[in-house]
Amino acid sequence: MDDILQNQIEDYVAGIMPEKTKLEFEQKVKNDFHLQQQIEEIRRVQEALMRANARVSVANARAIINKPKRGLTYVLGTFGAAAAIVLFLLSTSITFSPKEFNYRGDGVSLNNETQTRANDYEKATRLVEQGENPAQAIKILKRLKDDENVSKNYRNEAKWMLVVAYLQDGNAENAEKIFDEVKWEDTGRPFSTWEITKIHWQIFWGKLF
Amino acid sequence: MILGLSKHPSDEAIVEGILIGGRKEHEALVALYKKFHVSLERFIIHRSTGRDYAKQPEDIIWEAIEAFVVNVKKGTFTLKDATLETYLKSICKNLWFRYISQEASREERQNRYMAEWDKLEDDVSDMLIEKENWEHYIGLVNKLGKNCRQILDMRLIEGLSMQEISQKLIANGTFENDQTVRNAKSKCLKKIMEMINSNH
Repeated sequence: MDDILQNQIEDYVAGIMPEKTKLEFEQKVKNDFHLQQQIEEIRRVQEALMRANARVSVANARAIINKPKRGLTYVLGTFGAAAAIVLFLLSTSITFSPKEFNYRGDGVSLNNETQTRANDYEKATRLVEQGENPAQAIKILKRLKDDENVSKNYRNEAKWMLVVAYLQDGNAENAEKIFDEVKWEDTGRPFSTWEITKIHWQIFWGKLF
Repeated sequence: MILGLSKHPSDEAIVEGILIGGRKEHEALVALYKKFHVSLERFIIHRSTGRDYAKQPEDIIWEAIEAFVVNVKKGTFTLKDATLETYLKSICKNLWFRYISQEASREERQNRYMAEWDKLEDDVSDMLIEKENWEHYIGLVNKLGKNCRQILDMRLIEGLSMQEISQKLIANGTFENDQTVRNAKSKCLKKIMEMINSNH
């Protein structure tokens, strides 16, 4: 087959043959069985190409539809992980730096009552620091915070420790009551801002459940 | 109508996007799926037996979309014939019954599906038989090399002249001159014809 005829067949099948040429070509085809067969063969190739392309297009669209939305998943996942870490840290035990009981120097002799109060304070500090037996710590600290013979600073310190002891005991309501009372006092805090945030969170969480 | 693509494209816009091809076709197919997949899935599930088949309604929907795309491109589907949803449902029903009848036992087939088979729309049913026959030719086309496929697509699908094809392929460095492009096209066409005829 010559190149010109081959090109004519392709133009005809592709639908780009000018109208006048097309009419003449169709006349020629009508009486030529061999030419009809050649056209059919090219049409078959054309349709196979078109169907193969359609399959690729549909597969691409399907891939896009099925593609997980990574952007949103990633943002939500990262946010969730960060939130989980912060909440975990907020739920860890509260650490603080209690004042050491000041004996006002080695030479000063303490009376029995003061010595008992000093012993109670140190015992309560130890219990709260270790998180053991909060019920007993609460008992001692309640007594110390109300004792007018104890200086304001140590009574205040006892209140802070009482907040922690109540939280350790699972009593968020009482912890909140003492916390609301002590947080406005100007005698200093044994806790960092982060630890104060933890107290807020643990009171909130404890009250919720 | 130009596909931008709006959130709720009309049937006409979807068909037009498919005919334009390329990026517009891609957008039209995604829009088509989003627009009809819920109703098509419900339509197929309603006609299921509850048995667990390897093919899911999702697979049937995409097969139906492919058949629809072919018909749009061949010009055998027009919106005058039916709404897009009705047409897709018809294809889905045929594909689904065809599939489950292959999977079901003879007894099940007699009892459950033959009644529905009788009601199948003839044209859609014929179209699906034809689709199965074309699988072989699609396989052959996919065996062609990248350059062959590109040249034949440009010539027979996009309808470019040999001169236009040469200009494009020389400009992007795929071929050196006009004659090598022409030779490549003849060779590719001969190759695919031989492949088709040897299995025809």
